[in-house]
Amino acid sequence: MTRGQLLAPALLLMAFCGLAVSSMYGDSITGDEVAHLASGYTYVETRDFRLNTQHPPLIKALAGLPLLLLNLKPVEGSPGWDNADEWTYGRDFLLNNTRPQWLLVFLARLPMVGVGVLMGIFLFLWAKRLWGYWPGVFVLFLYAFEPNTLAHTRFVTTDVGVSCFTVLTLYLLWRFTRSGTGRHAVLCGGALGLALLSKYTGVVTAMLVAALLLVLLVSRQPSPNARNLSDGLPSGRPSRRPQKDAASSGRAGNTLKPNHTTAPPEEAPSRRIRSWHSVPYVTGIEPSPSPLAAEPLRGWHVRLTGWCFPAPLAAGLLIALLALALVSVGFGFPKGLANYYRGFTKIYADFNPKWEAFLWGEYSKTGFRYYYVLAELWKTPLPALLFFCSALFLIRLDEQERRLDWTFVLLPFAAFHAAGVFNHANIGVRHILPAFPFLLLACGAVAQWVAAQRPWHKAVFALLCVWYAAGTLRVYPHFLPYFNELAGGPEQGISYLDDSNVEWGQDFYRLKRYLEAAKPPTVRIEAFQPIRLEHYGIAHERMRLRDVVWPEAGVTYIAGASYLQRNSLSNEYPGVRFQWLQRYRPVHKIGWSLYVYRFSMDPADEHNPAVFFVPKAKWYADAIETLTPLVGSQPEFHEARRVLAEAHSARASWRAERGEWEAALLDVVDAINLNATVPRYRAQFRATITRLPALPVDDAVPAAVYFSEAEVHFRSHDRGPALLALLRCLQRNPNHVEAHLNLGTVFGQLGFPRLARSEWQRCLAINPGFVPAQRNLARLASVAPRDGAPAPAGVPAETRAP
Amino acid sequence: MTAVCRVFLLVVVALLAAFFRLHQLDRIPPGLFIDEAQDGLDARAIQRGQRLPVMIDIGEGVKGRSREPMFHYLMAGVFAAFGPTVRSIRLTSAVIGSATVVVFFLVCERFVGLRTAFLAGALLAVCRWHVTFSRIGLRAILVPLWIGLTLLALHALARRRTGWAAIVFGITFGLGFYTYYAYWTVPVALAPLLVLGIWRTRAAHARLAGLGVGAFLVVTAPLIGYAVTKPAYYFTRVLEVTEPLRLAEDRSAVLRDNLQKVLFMMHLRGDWVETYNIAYRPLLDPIMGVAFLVGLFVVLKTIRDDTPVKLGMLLFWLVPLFPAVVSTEVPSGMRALGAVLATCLIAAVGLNVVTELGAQGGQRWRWTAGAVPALALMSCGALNYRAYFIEWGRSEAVARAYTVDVVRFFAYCADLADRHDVYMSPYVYHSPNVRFLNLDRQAPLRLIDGDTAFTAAGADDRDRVFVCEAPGINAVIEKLYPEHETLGNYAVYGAHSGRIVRIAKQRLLASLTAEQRQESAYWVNKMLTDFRERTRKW
Repeated sequence: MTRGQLLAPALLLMAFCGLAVSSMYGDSITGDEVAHLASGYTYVETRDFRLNTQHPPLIKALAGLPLLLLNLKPVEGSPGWDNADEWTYGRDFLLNNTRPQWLLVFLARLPMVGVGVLMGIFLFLWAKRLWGYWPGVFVLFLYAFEPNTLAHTRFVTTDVGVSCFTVLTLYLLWRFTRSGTGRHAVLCGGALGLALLSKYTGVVTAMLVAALLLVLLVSRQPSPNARNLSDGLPSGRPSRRPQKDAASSGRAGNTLKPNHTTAPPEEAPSRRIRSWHSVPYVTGIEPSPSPLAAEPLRGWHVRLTGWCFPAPLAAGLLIALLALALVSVGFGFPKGLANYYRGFTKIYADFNPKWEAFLWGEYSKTGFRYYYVLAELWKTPLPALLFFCSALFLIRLDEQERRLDWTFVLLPFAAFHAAGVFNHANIGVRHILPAFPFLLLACGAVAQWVAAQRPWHKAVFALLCVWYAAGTLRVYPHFLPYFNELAGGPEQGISYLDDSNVEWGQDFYRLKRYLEAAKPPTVRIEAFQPIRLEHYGIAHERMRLRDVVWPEAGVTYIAGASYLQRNSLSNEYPGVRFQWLQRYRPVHKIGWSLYVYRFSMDPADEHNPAVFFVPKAKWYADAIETLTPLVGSQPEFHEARRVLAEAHSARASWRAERGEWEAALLDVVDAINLNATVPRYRAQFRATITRLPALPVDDAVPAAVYFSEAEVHFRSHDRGPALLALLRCLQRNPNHVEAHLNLGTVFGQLGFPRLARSEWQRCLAINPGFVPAQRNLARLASVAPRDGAPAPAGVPAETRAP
Repeated sequence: MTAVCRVFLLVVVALLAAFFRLHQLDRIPPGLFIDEAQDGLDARAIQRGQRLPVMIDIGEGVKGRSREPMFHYLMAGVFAAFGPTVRSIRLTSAVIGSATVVVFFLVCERFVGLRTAFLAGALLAVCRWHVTFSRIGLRAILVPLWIGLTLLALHALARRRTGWAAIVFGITFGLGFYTYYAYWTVPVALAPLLVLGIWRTRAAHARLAGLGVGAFLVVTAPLIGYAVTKPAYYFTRVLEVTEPLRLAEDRSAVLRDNLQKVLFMMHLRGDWVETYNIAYRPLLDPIMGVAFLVGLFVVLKTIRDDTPVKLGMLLFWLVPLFPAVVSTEVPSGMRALGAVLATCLIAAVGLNVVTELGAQGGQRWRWTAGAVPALALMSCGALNYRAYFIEWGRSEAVARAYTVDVVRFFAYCADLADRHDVYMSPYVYHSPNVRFLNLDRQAPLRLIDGDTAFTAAGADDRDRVFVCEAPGINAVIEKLYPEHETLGNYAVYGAHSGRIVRIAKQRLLASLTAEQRQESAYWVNKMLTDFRERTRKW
C-alpha cells in the first residue's frame, strides 16, 4: 500500500475517533461501567481479580490503565473490596476518589475508542485483501459511521473488545488458509486468547475457529486454477473501459480475470497442488517470498516426530494451546484457567429474576429467540442492510475457494446470531455486536461489483452512502438509541426495544443542563441510574406509585425510556405499568432516552405545548382503571389501595361540584370500601348523602322493584348501587320498612352507626313490632360505637330480603 | 416422467392433503366457534330455501355484517347430504382445503414442472397455516382455492386462446368475488402478469378480452348491484377492520409496523389469536421457513429467467398479504391466507435447489437429490402434525377459544329439556352456538320472554328449569319459588352468575299477583333490553 493509499483509511479512522470522543464527552456513566471501570483499575493496580469475575478482565484492565497515571485512593480498605462487591466498590471508587468522577470515566473510555480503531484497521485490511483497496475503504467507511459500534466503543464495556479480537482472530485464520504459514496460526492463537479474555462471548469465536478449521479439513484441496474470491462475482455489464479495469485490478485487487494472469504463482504447478499456499489469492498483494516458506505448517500435511497431521488439525492444536496459555496468563497465572471457568459459570450473576424481556410490545420472562434478529434489523442502518442483501445476491458458489471465503464472512455473522437465539438476556443489540463487522465486510462485495457497473448504479450506490452517513450524523451524539427507518427512527425505537438499546443512564449531563435552563419547581424522576443523581447535582424526588398512575399537575416528570416501556415500575411495585406512552405525549425528550412530561387539567392549557392537557374526567378514569385491577389481583398492595381510594374521593368531590350527585355518592362509597379509616372520606360521605337531591325514579316502577334491585346489588357487594336503589325505593314509598332496615344495614357496613341507628329507628316508627330492626338496634347498643369513630368492619346487622 | 408417475404423485399429494384435513375432524378443533355457528345458521337457511342471498347480511343469525355467500352455498350442499352438524360445517372446509391442494398441484405442474409441483403440493398439504383453516368453517378457506382455479383458467386461456377459455376465465375470476374480501387483492396481483403477457406476445386479442370481461361482468353483476344498492352493508366489514389504520394519527407508522408484523408472521411471530394459531407461533415450521427463504433468494436471483412465473410467485405472495397489513388483529393468518399458495411454491423452489445441487454435485452427492427433499417433507409433515394435532388441538386455550364449555353446556341443557320444560335467558337461547347445535338436536328449549315463564301453563306441565344469568330474574325466581333446587352454575363474561334451577311442577304458581307481575315484567324487560344492547355490535 502506498502512502497515498493510507490517506482515505486514515481520514475515516480519524472521523470515527472524532465522532466517538466528541460524543463520549457528553455521556454520563452508563450501566455496566460502574463495575467494569473500577474492577479494571483494581486488576492493573493490584493484579487481584476478585471483582466482577462474570466478565473476563482484558478490556476492563485496558480501561484501568490510564487511571494509573492519576494518584487515586488505595484499593485496600475501600467499601466492597473485602467482600468482592464490585457495585459498592465501583460507586465508592467513582464518587469518593481523589479525582472527579467525570475525569475517571473519560480517561477510562479512551482505550475503548482505541480498541474500536484497531477493529477498523483489521476490518479494512481484511476487506482490502478480499475485495480490493476501494471496497476496503468502503467497508471502513461503513464501519466508521456504524452507529452501534460508535455507541459502544465509547463505553467501558466488553462488547467492542470481543468484536475487535474476533475480527482479528478470524482474519488471521483466513490469512492462514491463504498462506499456510505457522506465523498466521500463531498470531491467530494469540488473537483468540485476547478474544477469550475480552468477554465470554469469545467462546463463540473459539467455536468458530474450530468450525472453520473443520471446514478446511473436510474440504478438498484448492484447485491450482483457483481465483480470487472477487473473480466469482457476476460482472454485470462489461466495463466500457477494460484497460482501466485491468490497470486498477493490478493496482487495487479488483480483477475480473483469473488471478494467475495478473499475479503469476510463485511456485511450480506440482508444488501448488499440494500446498495451501498454492494460489496467491489476492491480486495486488505480492506473495511474499517469506523466510517462513519452509515452516512446518506449510503444505497440506505436517510431519511431526514421525506422525503425519493434516495442516488444519495441527494449526487448530497450535491455536488452542496458545489461546489457553494466554488466558491462563491473562486471568491471573497460575489459576487463570480456573478463574476463567469460575467466571464463565457466573455469567448471569447480575441477572434480576423479576426482569422481563421486552420486544415489539410483548414481554417475556424467558426471552425471545428471535430478539437479536429483529434487534439487528432495526438497529442497523437501512443502507447497510440493503448492501448486505445485495452482497448475498452476488455470491457465486462454483469454486471451492470462493465458498471458503464466503464461509469466513457469513459463518461468524450467522454464529453470533445463533448464539443469540440461546441468549435469554435480551437486553441489547450489543450482545451480538461481533456480528456487525462481518455484515459490513460482506458489503464490500457490492462496492466491488458496482465499480464495473453503469453510472446509474454508481449514483444509487453513492446516494445510499450519503443516506448512511447522514443517518448516523443525524443522531449525533445520541448513538445508543439509534434505530433505522424500519422502526421509525430513534423517535419510535422505544416501541420496539428497550434497555441498553435505548436507555443506559447516558443522558444525565444533558438532563442537568435541561433542568438548569427550565428551572421547574418540582422534579420527579424514574430512570435507570447507575449512580445517584445527586452526584450530578440534579435535585429531584423519586416517582412513586401515585405519580405513575395519577400524575399531578405542576410537577415535571422525567421518565426513562426503559421504565416507560417496562412491565413493572420497579421491583417494589410488581405489575404496575407506566402506560404513559399510550396515554400521554411528552413535552420534551432528552437524547431519546429521558422523556419529560408536564400535565395540566386546565382546559386553558389544551393547546399549550409546554404541558400535556388531560381532561379531568380522563385524568380520574385513567388512575381508577389502572389501579382497580391491580387492587383486585393484589389485595395486600396497600399503597395501590390507598391511592385508589384517594382517586375515588377526589373524583367524588369533582363530581359533586358539577352536581353529579349520584356518581359522587358511588365514588365516595368506593373510597370508603377501600379505606374506611380515613375520616375525610366519612365526612365527604355524610356531606354527599345530606346534600343528595331527589333521585330520578320511574313512576311506572313500584318501590318493590327498586328494593329487589337493591338486594341484587347487595348480594354482589355493590354497596353504592344498592344504596341508590334503596334511596329510590324510599322515594317511591317512604314507609317501606324493609328498605329502611336494609339502608341502615348498608350505613352500618360502611361505618356510620348513627345513620344506621336513625334508619332502624324509623323502621320502628313505622312498625313498632318490627323485630329485625329491634335486634339490630340492640346489637348496635352492645357494640356502642360512635359515628365518626373508625369502624372498618362495619356494624354487624341483619337485613330483610324482599 | 410418465403419465402414470404424474398421476401417482397427484394421488400421493391428494391423500396427504385429505389425511391432514379429515383426520380427527370430529375432535380437532374442539367445540364450536361462534363464527362457524353463525355461518352454519345462514347456510341452513339457504339449504331450507328460506333465502338465496347475493350477500349474507342481517339474516338468520345475530351477526349483522355482510359476508360473501359462496361458502354458505357450499355448506348448504353439505348440510343437504349430511345434515346440519358441526362435522358438516368443517367437512365443507376440509373438502375445499383438499381440493385446493389438488388444484395447486395442477397449477404448479403447468407453470414450474412436475417435480416442483409435487414438492409444493406436498408442502401445502401439510402446511399448518392452511390445514388450520381447512378445518374451521370460515369462508377464508375459499380464497386459495379460487386463486388456484383462476390461475388454472388463466393458463388455459394463455395456451388455448379460445373464446371458451376466455369465458371460463371470466367466470372463474368473477366468482372469486363471492368468496371473501381478501380475494379483492387477486386482480392487483394478476394485472401486472396480464400486462406482461400481452406485452410479450404483442397481441391485443380484443375478442378474447371482450368475452372474458363480458363473462366476468355477468357473473359479478348481482354483487355489483348489491354493492351499489347497499354500500353501507357491503363495505361495513372492510371499513370496520381497517378502522384502527384509518383513524390512526400516524398512518404511515401503523402501516410500517403492520407490514413488518405480517412479513415476519411466517418466520418469527405469528397470529396471536388462539382460534387460528398456537399463539405467536410462526405460521411456517422451521424447515419450510428455511426452504422459503432459500426459495425466495433463488426466485429473486433468477428472476430474469422465466420472468412471468417468478414475478407471479412474488406478486401472489406479497399482494395477498395486504388485507392483513391494513386490518385489525395484525398479523392475521386468516386475512393473508391467499398468500399460502405462493409461500408453499417458493418453499418448494427452495427445496428444489437442494435437488438440483445434489444432481450437479457428482456421484458423491447425487443421493442428496432425492433424500434431502424427501427427508425435509417428512420432517415438515411430522412437525406440522405435532404442532396442529398435539399442541394446538389439545390446548386448553384452544378449547376456550372454541367454547367447548358451551357445547357441553348445551348438551346438558338439551338433556334437561328431554325431561323438563327448560326456559333460558336470551343470552343463552339466542347464542349462535346453542341455536346451531339445536338444529340437529331439536331440543324443546324456550325463552324467558315474559311473566308467563314463571307460572304453570296447564295440565301437561313438567318440572320447570330456568337457565339464567340475569341477577334480577334470578332474584324474582328466588322470591317466587324459595324452595327451588339449584342444579348448577355457569359463567357468563367470566362471572359465575349463571344459575340453573329447577322448580317441581307441583309448586308452580297458577298466576302471579299484580305486584309480582309488575316486578317480573320489569326484570324481563331489563334483561331483554340489556341483551339487545350487548348484542347490538354482533
